Formats: sequence, structure tokens, C-alpha cells
Amino acid sequence: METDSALREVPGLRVDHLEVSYRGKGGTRISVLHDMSLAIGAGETLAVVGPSGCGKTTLARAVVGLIPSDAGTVEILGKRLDRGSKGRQLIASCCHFVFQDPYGSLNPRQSVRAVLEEPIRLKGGSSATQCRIRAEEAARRVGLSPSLLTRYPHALSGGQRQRVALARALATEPKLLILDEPTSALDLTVQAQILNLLLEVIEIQRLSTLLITHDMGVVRHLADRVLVLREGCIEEEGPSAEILENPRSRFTQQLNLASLHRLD
Amino acid sequence: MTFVLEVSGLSVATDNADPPNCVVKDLDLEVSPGEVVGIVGESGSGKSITALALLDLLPRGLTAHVARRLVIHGIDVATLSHGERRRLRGAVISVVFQEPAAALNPVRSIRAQFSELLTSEFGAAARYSASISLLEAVGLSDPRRVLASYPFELSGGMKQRVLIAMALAKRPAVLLADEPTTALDVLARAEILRLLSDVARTRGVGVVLITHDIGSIRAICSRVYVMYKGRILEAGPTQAVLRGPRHPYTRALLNCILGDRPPKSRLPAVPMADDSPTDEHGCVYVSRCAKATRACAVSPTIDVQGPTGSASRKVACWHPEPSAVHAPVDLR
Repeated sequence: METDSALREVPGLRVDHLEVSYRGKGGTRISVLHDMSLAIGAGETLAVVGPSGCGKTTLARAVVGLIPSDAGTVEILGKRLDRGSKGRQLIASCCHFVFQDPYGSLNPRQSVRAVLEEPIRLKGGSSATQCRIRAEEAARRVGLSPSLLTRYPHALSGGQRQRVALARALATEPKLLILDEPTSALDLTVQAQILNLLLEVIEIQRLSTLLITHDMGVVRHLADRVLVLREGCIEEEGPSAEILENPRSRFTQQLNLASLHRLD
Repeated sequence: MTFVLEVSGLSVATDNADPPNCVVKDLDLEVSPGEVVGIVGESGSGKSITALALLDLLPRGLTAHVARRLVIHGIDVATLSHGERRRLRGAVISVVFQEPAAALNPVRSIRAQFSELLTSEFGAAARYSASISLLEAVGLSDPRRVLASYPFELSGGMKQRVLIAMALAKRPAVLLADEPTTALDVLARAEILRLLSDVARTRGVGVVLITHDIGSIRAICSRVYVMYKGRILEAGPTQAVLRGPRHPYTRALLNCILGDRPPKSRLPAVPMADDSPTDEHGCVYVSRCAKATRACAVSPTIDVQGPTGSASRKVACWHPEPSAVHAPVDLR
């Protein structure tokens, strides 16, 4: 229904037959992602789940070209992503990444204001005053008080840092958002606020979202569809209600049970 | 009923601030042999500092003070010298930390790290066989391979099992587990929780699970302490506390669990924590609490409800939620 109509628009992200490998001992190639194909429509959220080492983060990084791929294509907003400056421009103009560790992804020598203004300035077309106003607007939207804008990352709590990272990602109004474990470093009460914010911006801005997580609760709450990864291959894929309630594969069942803390 | 760990009136304060800034204040904690007890709280609530204080491992600048008593396995810690307290560590009270990769020496084999620990065994062969039985006891199926490995050759879950085996090497009576599963994925997390529960049941060790994850608490803890800004706000049997929270903070925390909420629904907003220093005399939750009144300017005493003993409920609030009025919270 909604998913179908979303896919009829130009998908925010389309990945076809992507292959990624690393060089192992003695020059052999170790395959990390094998024959990966997926599409995310406008306003749609796809969750990628799986245990550690299954290739979730590699997928997110390969999609934005942070890791080179061996074969396959990536299209963002219907435009093919190629290596080189054109590809980087395409990513910079419409795609943003929120990393798992908010501290590691913020420059310790940049104030919050500078962190938020930088992507707006780099995108171009805004005067210094406009940059200022839009940075303040971005901070306000994630519930950061204006007094925090002059602070540096070390003077912020974990939840505040993650909200700065999110505000930075949303400041340039991207069309594709990649979230790598966005709430796993956060307390429960802060997670609730971040999830509320994400739901709001995804819906209003018709964002395509790739959500990497191993928290099935977050998946169920946020995602339209789920893709289960196992050792670099797609184990199964489908609407989140279906995958969470009636998984076909034994592996997905184990994953669901483990995340619900059913120990027996 | 004898407790394997009995803490009454533990406070931890900074040395140089005037007045001293209390990181943990007037904490009571009791653990029976073979019991898994949970301390749940958000970051900055003082739960890790509590563990370090019990281990006598506080960082410089923080000092613990016990107002009433601290008894570990029948030993009154107040009567011990510094050296005697150090010998308690590992032998009587032991610990497993959050990040298994950081707790192991990256350039020494697991075997070398075990023999450093097993000083009571005489000779390399005896130490080797003792390490093997310890690793088997924590469910590692190929202990010889593990002993020959370096930490980077093991998965996160295996490393955490190795650390639990090390923590149990001297047969302690109390095991503190400080966020032991946070760095692990869901499959490994379930295995480690099951192992901790087995350790308590089969060895009679009193386990204290320190975590921010209510799911882990629900899975293995018989009793839970809810901690916020250094104070215990609510305590009692896990099922009773989670199904019918009486402190507004516990209630707010449980409200944030995704559980069976309709997907994409808005979660109830909790006012953000402020980082302003709390008033020494008032309730620590007052700035975020919807039920706060003038009475809250005075620190509420822990109020014991129901039967005394291990089944009792404790709530530190002037306006506790009435018991059993709310529909039970779904905890999935």
C-alpha cells in the first residue's frame, strides 16, 4: 500500500547486486557482502538487522562509498553513484549518515554551532546569516537549547551529542538518511525522544531511511521493512510485522527471541 | 537470613568540592547467596561508581563513606586494613566489566593471562588444567584452543566468557557484573545472561547485575534496585517493581520501553534531565517529576511497604503511585 506507492516514486536508495570483500591473509579475498540488492522508497524505512560481524555496518558504508565495492551498482534518487568527485557531490547533496558513536563523529575542537553550520555552508546557496538561522533551527528541532550552541562536544552528555549528530544530519534536508545504531548509546528516556523526532522528520520530509541496528524493539517501532543479514547474505526480507511475528528462517526466530530476552 | 553482601548507608563524594558533591548517597543493598540482583539506572546515575566503591577501586578524587555497615561474605570491611581489603578483591568479591576487549591484555595469550591469576596452583601443568576446567565451566566448548588464542582471535561473547571464568577463578562469594552485555550483540547477550544466572544458581555466588537495560533485569534478576542521580528511588522483587512501579521515575522509565506499542506511535515524553546540581536536601527527581509539590524540597525517606525481608518494596517518594491501580506495563 504505502510501501508500493513509495516505490513508484524514484527510490531514495537502490542497491543492485553489490559485492564487497576485504583482502585477507596471503592476498585472498574475504567476501563480506554477497549479491546485496535492496531499494528504499521515499518516506520509507528499511531496517538491516543481524548479529555482529554479519556485514551491517559494511553495507551502510559501502552504500555511501566509504568502502569500495567490487561489483554492483548504487543509485541515490535515481542517479547512479560512481567513484570520484561526482559521486561524492551526489552523496553530499542529499545523503547524511549518523554514526553509532556520537563522540567519535564530532570534531572535539568545533563548537556545536560550527558543527551544525558546516554542512549548510558546504551545500552552498546560504549567506552567513542564513547559515546561522538554519543551524539554530536545526538545533531547536532536536530539542537542544540555544545555550548549548557555544559548547564543545566534551561538555555535552551522550544523548546531547547524539542529538547534535542528528541535527547536523537533518540541517541540509537530506533525502536519504543512514542511521548506524542511532540509539544504542542512549538512555531509554533519550531514546524515546530521538525516536519521536525521527518518526516526525521521516514522515514530513519523506526521507528514505536505512536503519542499521540489532535492537528489534527499535526495528518494530521505526521500520516499514526488515532485511535480515547473515554472514553477508540476505537471510530474509519483508514487511517488519511479518518478519517479527512470523519469521520463516530459524535464524531470524533466534534473533527475535534473543532480543526479547526469552532465555528458554 | 544471612546476606553474602550487605551494604547500608554507602555514600561516595568528591574530595575537593565544598560542599562535597555526592555521587552516591546513602545506598542500601542486600544480596543473598545464589541470588541475581539488578541495579538499573541511566548513565550518570552512579551505578558503576557503586560497584567501584564496593571493590575499593574508586578513582582518585572520590571517597567512599559507609555510614552503617558494609559486610561482604561475613567480613566487616570497616575493620580491615588497606592490604586486607585489597586481598578481598578477586577472592571474595570479583567483577566483570563492560568492555571485554579492554579488560584483556591484547599482547598476551589467554593461557598466560590465566597463569598470572592462578597463583595458588603450583606448576604450569596444574595451572593449565585448572584453566581448562574454569573455561569449561563457563560453557566454552574448546578450552584448549581458547587458551592458545590471543584476545583478538576470540569473539566478543567468548572474551566475556573468558573474563567471567577469570572472575570466578578464586571462588568469590560475590560477583559484580557492570554492564557485561552492552558491547555484545543480541545472541551473545542472551548467552552471557544465561551464564550469569547459572553461576548464581549452581555456585551459590551472589551476582549484582549493573545495567541500563530493563530487559536484562527482567530476564535474570529476582530483585531490582532503581537508581537515579546516586540515590535508590525504588527497590523490590523484579516482577512487582516492573509490573506495578510506584516511583514516578520508574514509571517514566518503563513508559519508554517500546514493547507492544503500535509501531510508529509517539512515545510519552519525559522532561529532559537537567545537568544543574541537585539540591542536597530535596528529592533528586523533583525537576523532572510531574507530581512534584512543596513537600519534595525535603528528601523523601525510603518507605518500606508490604512484608519486611527480601520481598519488601521500598519507595523513596512523597507521592508514590498507588499500588495495583495502573494497568500492568507490558515489558516485551
